[in-house]
Amino acid sequence: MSTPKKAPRTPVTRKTSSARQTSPQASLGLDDVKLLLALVSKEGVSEFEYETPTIHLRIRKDGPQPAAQMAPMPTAPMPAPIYLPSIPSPTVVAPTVAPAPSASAPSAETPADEVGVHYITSPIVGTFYRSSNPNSAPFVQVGDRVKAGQTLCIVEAMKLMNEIECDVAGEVVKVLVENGQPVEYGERLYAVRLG
Amino acid sequence: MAAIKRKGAVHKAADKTGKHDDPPFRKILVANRGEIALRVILACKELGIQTVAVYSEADRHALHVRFADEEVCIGPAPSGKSYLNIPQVIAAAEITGAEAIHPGYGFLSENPHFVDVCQACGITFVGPNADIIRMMGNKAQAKATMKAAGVPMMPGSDGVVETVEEALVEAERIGYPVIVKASAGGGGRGMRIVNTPDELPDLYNTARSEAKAAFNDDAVYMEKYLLEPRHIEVQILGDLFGNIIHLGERECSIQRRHQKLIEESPSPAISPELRKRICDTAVRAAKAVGYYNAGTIEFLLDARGDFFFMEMNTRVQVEHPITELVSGVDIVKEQFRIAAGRKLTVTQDDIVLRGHAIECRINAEDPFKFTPCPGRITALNFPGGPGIRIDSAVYQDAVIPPYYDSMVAKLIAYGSDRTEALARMRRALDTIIVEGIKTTGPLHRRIIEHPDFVKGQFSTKWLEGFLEELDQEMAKTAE
Repeated sequence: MSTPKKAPRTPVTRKTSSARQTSPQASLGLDDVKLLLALVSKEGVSEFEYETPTIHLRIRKDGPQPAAQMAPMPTAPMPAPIYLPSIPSPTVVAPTVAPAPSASAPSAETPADEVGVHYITSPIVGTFYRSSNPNSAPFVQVGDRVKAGQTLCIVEAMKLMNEIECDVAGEVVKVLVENGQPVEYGERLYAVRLG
Repeated sequence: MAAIKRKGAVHKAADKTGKHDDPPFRKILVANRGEIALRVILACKELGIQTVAVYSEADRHALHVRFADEEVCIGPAPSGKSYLNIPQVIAAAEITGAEAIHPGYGFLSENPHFVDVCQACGITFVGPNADIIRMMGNKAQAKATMKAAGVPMMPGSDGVVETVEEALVEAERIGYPVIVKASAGGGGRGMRIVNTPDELPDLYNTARSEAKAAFNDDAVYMEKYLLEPRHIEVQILGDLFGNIIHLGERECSIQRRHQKLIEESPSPAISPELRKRICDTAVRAAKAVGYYNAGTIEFLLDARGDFFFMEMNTRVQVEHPITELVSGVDIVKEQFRIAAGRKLTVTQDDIVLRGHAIECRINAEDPFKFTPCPGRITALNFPGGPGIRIDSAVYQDAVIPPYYDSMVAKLIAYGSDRTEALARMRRALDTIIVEGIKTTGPLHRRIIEHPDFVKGQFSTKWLEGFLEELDQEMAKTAE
């Protein structure tokens, strides 16, 4: 799995105007980080990046878990990852230049997350259906605008049809599972571009 | 694309010479995690059964997931939302086409509702039926059923003892010493041990006042008080044709707050005559309820050789490996054959108990304070050599998550007799290395070299006394 590190990160939605600034001041204390975390939590900012010649700090809300967490049997010795019980947002990615390559992570096909794209995941185990019955049209197609609360698909489990609703507003950019396929808990079903 | 990975290993039965039977199932789901999930998967590999692992998000890198043929994530870390979530487990069986579910121990293994749901969905539950589980899960009902089957019960008052006069009569009938217990009670409150009729009135009244204060209910009952009780349990196997056999007993007296630490088979306290009596009683009890699949009947044994029914466990036990080693029967494999409606592969006459086996439960806990110690295992060495078996699902760099039990490994030593088994356990404990977390290993090492343990002289109360000794010893060293 070779995910080339993406070149300059594209600006994030509602990013503060001066997010990427270069300052000669090189030191960043714990209090500063706390302050930044508080600020990011309060403001409607989803990602914050700060870089100087010596420091690279990135704060991201609701992003994917840092790769270091729960990496299986690391192949090379790396700075002992701290055991993090999955703490919800915001997540701080430590000031390493490149995120630690997640060793043979089993989720090999998970694409690098595109900024501004939200994934609808399955809350239950079952069989995925794009429409309410085999003869009707799919609930949504790629390119459709969707809003929060709108039904996207059905996951059938134990003979019950569970309607899965969208939790954001945006545009469907990809359907990730084929009709009639089994899905597990947390499996990505749709990619929705926010906005 | 789908996250439910099919690793596609097509198994053939281990031996096609006709010596081994066809697989009892084509594909089964293991509704558990940790060492027992792995134990079940290993049995399936030997039988040629395909396996489906279910896991929570905290167990993504667990070995049971790695070694199963298919895997389904069923929820977030808390077990209520994953391993105990019945709709998720059933849905996982449905989408993978698993014919049967093995529940392991804990989690859903003794949940009669789960067994009902399995049946309604056409999935075989590897265990007894829901009615038996329900009956044995209800203490009062279990006792009544066992009493009717002629199984000895702890002598006691039938229900609440209302007055001092009544208490004196009951105590005389039961025989001193007796224990007065709060009906609503637990945790030692509202409990008094009475040795003679003289002291009964005062102690009876104190127990009632204490019960009133602690539980706002002063109802008390009485039972015989055993001075040096041992926890003895008998392993049972039964098929759907009414054949029931026992695989001998297990001695589980080394325990702390009802948590077993060390088990062995056979018990050093049991003569062949007593073994026959206690095991025959267990078989009779199992027959009385029409039991099938693997089960365990637990007794308290007193110093005089009298034993009394405690409870029946309707699942495979944590300590089943010691029985497997002395009996030569693979209990988990038998469970699958029984569930598939086949007859037991052995009769009682085929069972010859040979040698001695001891198990130490190595937990991720402080060895002397017992506080749980989850975390990453930074270095790991499992001992090997003759007579050592380890049932574990950890590996170097594995993380013991804080959400589940603290089991790291079951270290099991087998020898031709108790002396050899103990010697092997000693050197195994000397060479086991688990770094990064604290484990109970050092405590086990201290216990097995204690003269009482070496002589086989201990009761369910022994460990408490030994831990106090250790406390004093540590206090002294600190001075």
